[in-house]
Amino acid sequence: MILEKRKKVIIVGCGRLGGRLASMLSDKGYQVVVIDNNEDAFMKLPESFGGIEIAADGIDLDTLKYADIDEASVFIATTGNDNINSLLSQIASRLYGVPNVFVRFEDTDKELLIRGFNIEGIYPFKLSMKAFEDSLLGNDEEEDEI
Amino acid sequence: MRIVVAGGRTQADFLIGTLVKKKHKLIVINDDKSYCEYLTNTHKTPVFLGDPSKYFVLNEAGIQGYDVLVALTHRDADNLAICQYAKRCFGVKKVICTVANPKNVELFKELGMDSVISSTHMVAQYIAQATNIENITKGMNIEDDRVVIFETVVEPTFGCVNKTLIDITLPANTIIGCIIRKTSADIIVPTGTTEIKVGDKLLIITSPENQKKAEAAIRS
Repeated sequence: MILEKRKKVIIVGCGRLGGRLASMLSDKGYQVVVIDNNEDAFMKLPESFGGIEIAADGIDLDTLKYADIDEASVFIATTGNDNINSLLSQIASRLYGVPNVFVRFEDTDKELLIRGFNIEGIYPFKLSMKAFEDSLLGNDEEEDEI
Repeated sequence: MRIVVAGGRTQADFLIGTLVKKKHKLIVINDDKSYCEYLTNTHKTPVFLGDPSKYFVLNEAGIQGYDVLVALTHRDADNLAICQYAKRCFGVKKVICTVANPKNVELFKELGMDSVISSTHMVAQYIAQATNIENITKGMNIEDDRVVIFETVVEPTFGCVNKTLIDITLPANTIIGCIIRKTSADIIVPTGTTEIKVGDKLLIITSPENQKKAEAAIRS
């Protein structure tokens, strides 16, 4: 288990994924900071959300310092832009040495940008492919006939 | 040299024009279709249509082993991604990353960029330098700010007037590299016995730390 109680999690990008992760982790007792440059994005968070919301540009170093990135044990980059996510994850891992850094990439080739660093890529494309494969072909031995 | 110009509009236009004239071999990549057509027609050079922050676009453009890549898109994160692909995946020898946010200059250097350029950062640097020292007409920092070259015009009040270089005590790592004298057709590369005259324009090479001391040594 990577996450322990009251560990600090920073999430940049409060979209569907970022928002759900934030509320899930907050419910489980983690200290959550969510950053998004669009204040309206925080409407996705439930009433019960107990974390901190920062409406600011996540790729501005001052925002990350304000969020005390040096104290974070988990950093998650889930903005809608792969290149921004790549930059964010590298700041967190390479400059601030955040021990657990996750990044969401739409384009699987972006893995080449973080290869060799202590950053874990999450790829919706690969997950979808896997889900389709499992559902379509899963235990079906007669896949060739499809 | 073989140079990749990725993204950008007017800066790309200008840069491509300059580089084509100097007979460099270019790969130009731009994600705006009508701008691609404009660049192709203006510079008679092939332009790849595509987002240069995508791996397959860089791959198809054939940038493998190029000498220099310049990233000119208006999004800093895109420029970083382009430069990192170029360096990590395509063995491009030197990358130049332009940024809109001056705070990204130091950050991107720490992330491995050879050279990061921000116009705001350069203006700020110029102003800081110009207010540092009076009489300065022009100055520039080179080699990642480790070397400063600046000009100063000798006024009658300066202590160095009519002295030979050997009699002027300059701080460490400082030389007067060149003297431009109105009465002399050629530039003067001074030796220890060269005398400094009123109205001489001195080209001084020093380090940023010693710039003020160098200026003081010339004046007093």
